[in-house]
Amino acid sequence: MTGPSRVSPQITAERLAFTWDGKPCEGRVGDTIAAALLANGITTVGRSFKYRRPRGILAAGEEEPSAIVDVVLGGVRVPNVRATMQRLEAGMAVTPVLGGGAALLTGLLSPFIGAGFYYKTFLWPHWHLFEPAIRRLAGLGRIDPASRLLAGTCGNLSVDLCVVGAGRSGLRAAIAGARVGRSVLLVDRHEVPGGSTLWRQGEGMAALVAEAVSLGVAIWNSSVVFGAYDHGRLGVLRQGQSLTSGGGLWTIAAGEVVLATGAIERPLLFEDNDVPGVMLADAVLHYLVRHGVLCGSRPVIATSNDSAYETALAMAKAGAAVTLVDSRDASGWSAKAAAQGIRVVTGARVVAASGRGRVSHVVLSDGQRLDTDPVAVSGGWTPTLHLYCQAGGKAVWDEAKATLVPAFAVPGFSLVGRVAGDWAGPEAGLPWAWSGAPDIPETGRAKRVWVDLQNDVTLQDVRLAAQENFASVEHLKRYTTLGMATDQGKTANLIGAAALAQATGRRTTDLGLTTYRPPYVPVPMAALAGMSRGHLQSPLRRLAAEPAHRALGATLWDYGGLLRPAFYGQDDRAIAEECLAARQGAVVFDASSLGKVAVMGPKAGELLDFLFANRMSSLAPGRIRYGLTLNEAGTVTDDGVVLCIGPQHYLVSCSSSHVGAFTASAEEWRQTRFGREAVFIHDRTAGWATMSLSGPKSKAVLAGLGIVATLDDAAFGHMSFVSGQFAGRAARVARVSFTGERGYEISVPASLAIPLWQALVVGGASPCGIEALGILRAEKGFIYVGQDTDGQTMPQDLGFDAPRSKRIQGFVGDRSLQLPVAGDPGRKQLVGLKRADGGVIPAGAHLIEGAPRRSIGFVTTSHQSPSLNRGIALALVEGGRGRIGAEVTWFDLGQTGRALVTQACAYDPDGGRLNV
Amino acid sequence: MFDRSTFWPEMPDWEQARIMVPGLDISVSGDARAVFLLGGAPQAIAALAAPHLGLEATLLWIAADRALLVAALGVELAEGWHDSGVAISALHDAHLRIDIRGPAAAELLRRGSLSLALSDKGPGTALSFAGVTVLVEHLADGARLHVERPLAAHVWHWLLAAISTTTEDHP
Repeated sequence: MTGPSRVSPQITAERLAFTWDGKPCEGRVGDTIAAALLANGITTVGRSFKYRRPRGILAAGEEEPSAIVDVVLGGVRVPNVRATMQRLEAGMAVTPVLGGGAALLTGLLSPFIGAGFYYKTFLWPHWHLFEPAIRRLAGLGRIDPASRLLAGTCGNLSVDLCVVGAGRSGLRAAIAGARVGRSVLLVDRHEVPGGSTLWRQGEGMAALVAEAVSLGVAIWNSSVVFGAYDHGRLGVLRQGQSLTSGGGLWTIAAGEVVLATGAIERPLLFEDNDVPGVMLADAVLHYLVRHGVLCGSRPVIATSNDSAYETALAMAKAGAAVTLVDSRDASGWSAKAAAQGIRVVTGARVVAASGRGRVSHVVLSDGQRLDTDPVAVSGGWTPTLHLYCQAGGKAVWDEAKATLVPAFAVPGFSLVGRVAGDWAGPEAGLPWAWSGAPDIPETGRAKRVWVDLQNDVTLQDVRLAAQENFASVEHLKRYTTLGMATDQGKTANLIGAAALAQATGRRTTDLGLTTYRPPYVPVPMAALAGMSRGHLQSPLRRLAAEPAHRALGATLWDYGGLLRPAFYGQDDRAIAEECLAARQGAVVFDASSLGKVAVMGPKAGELLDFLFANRMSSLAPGRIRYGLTLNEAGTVTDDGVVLCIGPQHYLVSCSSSHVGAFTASAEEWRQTRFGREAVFIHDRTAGWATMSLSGPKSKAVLAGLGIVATLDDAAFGHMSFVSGQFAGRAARVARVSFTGERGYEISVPASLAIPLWQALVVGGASPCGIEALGILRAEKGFIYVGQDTDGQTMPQDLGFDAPRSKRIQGFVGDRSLQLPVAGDPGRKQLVGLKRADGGVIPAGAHLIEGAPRRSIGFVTTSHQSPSLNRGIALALVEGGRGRIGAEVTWFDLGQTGRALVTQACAYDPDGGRLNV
Repeated sequence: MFDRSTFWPEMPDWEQARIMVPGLDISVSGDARAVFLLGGAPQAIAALAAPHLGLEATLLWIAADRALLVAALGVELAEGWHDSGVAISALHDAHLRIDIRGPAAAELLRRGSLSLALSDKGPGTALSFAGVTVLVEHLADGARLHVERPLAAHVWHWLLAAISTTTEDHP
């Protein structure tokens, strides 16, 4: 046994140093990791997933089930790299994803851990008891949270024709398309076009490539079409310049798609067919021709079709002593091989392989025992119909043709070459016979026959599944995991289906195959993310005055998709100072994100009456009203104020984070209930900036702004607004308050946000962030919907009884308010809480009673109030208003305490501060 | 205390913002006058907008029943609901205009939006670009993106990131 070794022609290529499991190795420019490993005589590249059996390299492409490795390059760890697809780079530290741990244990236990043993064994007392240990044993690769792949170049492209696969058929299809003036994109996974002719016989390919290029065909090498989606969209993964540079994800909109994706060779089934050194015959040829790696000097090549003869002839030419075992009778190919000095055995099959760490001999069906290094197998070919199936097609087994074929045409998709079952061989010479049904051994023997190498599924597992009545291929997949994981059973699915067919006495034709789903190859998360990472990961809305806030030293946080000032200063002591400033002087808060949704038209008032739990159509022009919106279940979804601009013209100022939802809801009811020409919804929020001025000195600050409008209290009372001008442009001033102090909301065109902000600050208003506002409103008992409400809170739970008890008109949620549950006195109601010692109750604490104790509610908001100099809290408590004056017990993370139930409003309950 | 001021890059100074690299000239303006028109029938919107259209005004269709009329010098259309079945809102400051011009503009635009990669653009101008909805006005040598002002910084930073990566070969 000599193992693999490097021969011509790449022997002179530039050398690349890398390590395998810590040992120094050397590869050549142009090698894949798998080719370099073989060239260094490394045939065992990891352990199997379940039984921890040693595994070698089976294939040379995306179908490889075993050669999955972790790679560290330049300090960046990339897990689960398919060694057969990844180009070798200097300095790579390559390690197997699964080492030898637990091999002995699982080897001894293997007779007891067949298919479905998880489901049968780990039932008692509970699966989750065993799950952590099993997860440690299982899994592929190791993620390093510190490692980040760079963003690849991602994008979108539209073409008339996209051809997938740059073999002979694909190149011809691309040329044909380009000749009639179509824009053509040719995508291929290899580094150069040519498809399998890069290692198999093929003449005239260079001329085809040259013609395609001259006709303007764009050729994307090192790229894989991993998914076919609706409307002819294809997902393409383009390999980066380096492994760590990440892949580029491209979306291709193709007028037509031609699939020239070829076929994948199937292994043969025999005992211990997973021993390292058992390889696909096509892969052995690939490594020899493409990389100059002879996988062994004394190979046995076992086949059930003609395709492996090319491997035998090439290996013999490279100096190997080849034995070819053909399960069929003698043919023209066997005669040709024999003429080249190859020992040919016909009418026999390999029934077993063995060897310690690497295959050393095989046993044939006629009893012969042959020494070997390696075993190259070919059990027929499966057309790569994945993309066709993802596009809506269906692959079926054709008994007459003995191959998988497309069941019907998919519009916009056509298939050429081997994927279409065209097994034509070299341009001249003997005809190919590549097709053939999977050869499933009839009787079970003592040793295992492997069907799916990646998931450690054996022929015995398939038969066990059939015996236990998992008779569908989909059930077989779920029960045994056959066809799952990163290779998606590319070499195993058809064999598994055929084995199940045999075990259940049916035909493969009748059994079908499992569903092909994207992605065809694993797509790194880095590629999926593309540029959507860091601050580009999720678009965030910005305030027009953000530069002014930054200039004042604001600490910015993202709140509900908006970047807003939390407070102004270095630490949260500023929050308390801002609260006190609001109670004693004047503060300004940037409220530009508050909704400004116009509702216009003859039925505008009617729509608002329907959307709000309280009536809005009775508002007079210039007046403002607070209201709640509900969903159909009667649950509070938002609160806000409505301004009546004029007859049939209103402006809804909803919560900042609910603008989109309110607008969508209003638009839906407009279109479905009120009519498109009866009412109109305009979201004007982005066009306006709003500064909220608040505090006892706010009136004086406002007066200094120079707003051209009548602002005296007699004509401009609380909950009213006036229109005027600021800096020569339209402005609106509304008297509303979310702090309990006298307050004004000044709205101007967004481009005037900074001038208005600066004028307010210069005029004497202190900047105030959203954290202080949260305390100020809590002191007043004003709610944040979503924080002080839950998924069951109705208006009456917040003290708004009129919608349930008085309103006659229909509105969203009204019927739910009349359900018996809505009148339950035990409903959770909003109240305040106060500790006797003035301390702060933890937010989220539960309120408990009884023995055994149970929760009667929870704390929704809790702060230290700078104005009251004590803790304040809001809570939803069962029958809360009936408990006012009583004490309750709070519980949080093991701590308990007592608190007095109070009214929600802790500051200025009479509202006198609004007019100070 | 946790501070996101540094995670989120500062907004550009829109008065000065400009990207000039080989093949690309990206500039910003925000002084357009725009009104939003919403109605039951596109004909009614088109009729209202028709007198204002010309070299300095463009009607950007958002959907079949709504459009944005953008004019450099302003449009005299009263805000509110009109008897013709169309409602009007002034949205003068709601959008920033980002002009992407130059030989490399088409490539950059395609990277931001699959819709801009399609050859058949259709009459609608609202599409997803860099993850947000924008209105696209096609120019002879590129396009003008009308981006909602609060989201303009995201689009600007996306453009900066996109032009820092290499362009690709394709038909």
